[in-house]
Amino acid sequence: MADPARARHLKEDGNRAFGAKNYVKAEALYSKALIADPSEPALYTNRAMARLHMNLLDGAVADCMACLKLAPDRMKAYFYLSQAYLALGDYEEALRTALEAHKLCVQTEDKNLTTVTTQVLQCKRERWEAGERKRKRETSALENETLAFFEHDREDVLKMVIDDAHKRDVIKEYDEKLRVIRDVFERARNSDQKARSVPDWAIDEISFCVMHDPVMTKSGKSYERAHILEHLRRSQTDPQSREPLQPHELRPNLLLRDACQQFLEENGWAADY
Amino acid sequence: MALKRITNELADLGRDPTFSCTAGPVGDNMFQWQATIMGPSDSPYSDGVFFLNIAFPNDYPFKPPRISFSTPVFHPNINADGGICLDILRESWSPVLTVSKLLLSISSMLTDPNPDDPLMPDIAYMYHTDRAKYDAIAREWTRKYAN
Repeated sequence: MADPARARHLKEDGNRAFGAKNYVKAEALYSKALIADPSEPALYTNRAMARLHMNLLDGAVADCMACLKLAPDRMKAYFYLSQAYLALGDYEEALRTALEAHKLCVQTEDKNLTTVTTQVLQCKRERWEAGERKRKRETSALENETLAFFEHDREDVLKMVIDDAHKRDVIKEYDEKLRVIRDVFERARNSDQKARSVPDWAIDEISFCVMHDPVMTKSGKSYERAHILEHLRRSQTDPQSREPLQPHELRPNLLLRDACQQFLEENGWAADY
Repeated sequence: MALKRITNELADLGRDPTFSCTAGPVGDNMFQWQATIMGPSDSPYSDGVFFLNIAFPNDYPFKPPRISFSTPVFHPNINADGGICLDILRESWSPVLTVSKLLLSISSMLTDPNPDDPLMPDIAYMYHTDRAKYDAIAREWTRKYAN
């Protein structure tokens, strides 16, 4: 028999424990509350948040899933899910769920849009870094294999040569080949570090970060949605022209969004927070 | 977000060495900066180096940084505590403004005071009625404090 009153009571105790950073106690209280009322979505997201702090990542994922089954539009569930996936190293799912959270924030004009935007950019960056690490591992493995192959080849050739002068020529020839191979791989490595600049069109002039969801003002200038909305909460003016500006007058800049997305796919280091 | 934006502004300042102002954090705290402005050559402040303190609020750039002179300046819009009367530091602040843009505005304010909106009415009055005396005192202060 569900007992919502008891669940509410336990939840409040849990929130207090959470506020006091006693995550173990908070998690236990949310669990008790869920026994009292397993149909309350907020209990699952609260416990997911406590579990994230305890690094119980699989448990946090399970809670978010349970919440979404009961309340498919629960932004917080997607947000915590994204954090859990990111910590688990599942970058694709982390980004997918962060984007869901972002979409829901925009739809409901949720004030957590800034935090969620940060999460999206962090997912993009970590995904890109993971890709880079993988690529570097593969390149380095290929370099070692290639070098080993040529060294082996040299041994084989040397076995067939008797004349000492000729032997020296073979060694010299292969040394040169090995040097060139190392040089090619080294150049490839260094090119990663070069030319790291962000084009002006991709940068939000409020946060100085690459945009994820640019929206355009009447004067034609685009800003990151989260940050221009934050500004409009304080002053309903266009930051550039100082003309009056209302949130509903902002228009998504879809072309710029695609361009920024493309840029971040190739330059994930720039999605930096 | 504030820290990231401040860090990026610092990087941008480093990319432009021709800039007549300098600015950067005082110690490890990125929210406390010190800046210098060279006295504009077409003003009684020429040849002076003026120091300013900059404090960024936690919700920068949605709120303006607090900027004040630590070098005494004889000027209608600068008070004895170094406080600056400039609209873009208050009601006309916009998050697309930056420290470098503010310093440029302050620098041009040294050349062109706004005596109709004075923080120091006596100095503003002198600026209107006896420009030679005003210039002489401003030059004297510059030599005394900003050298």
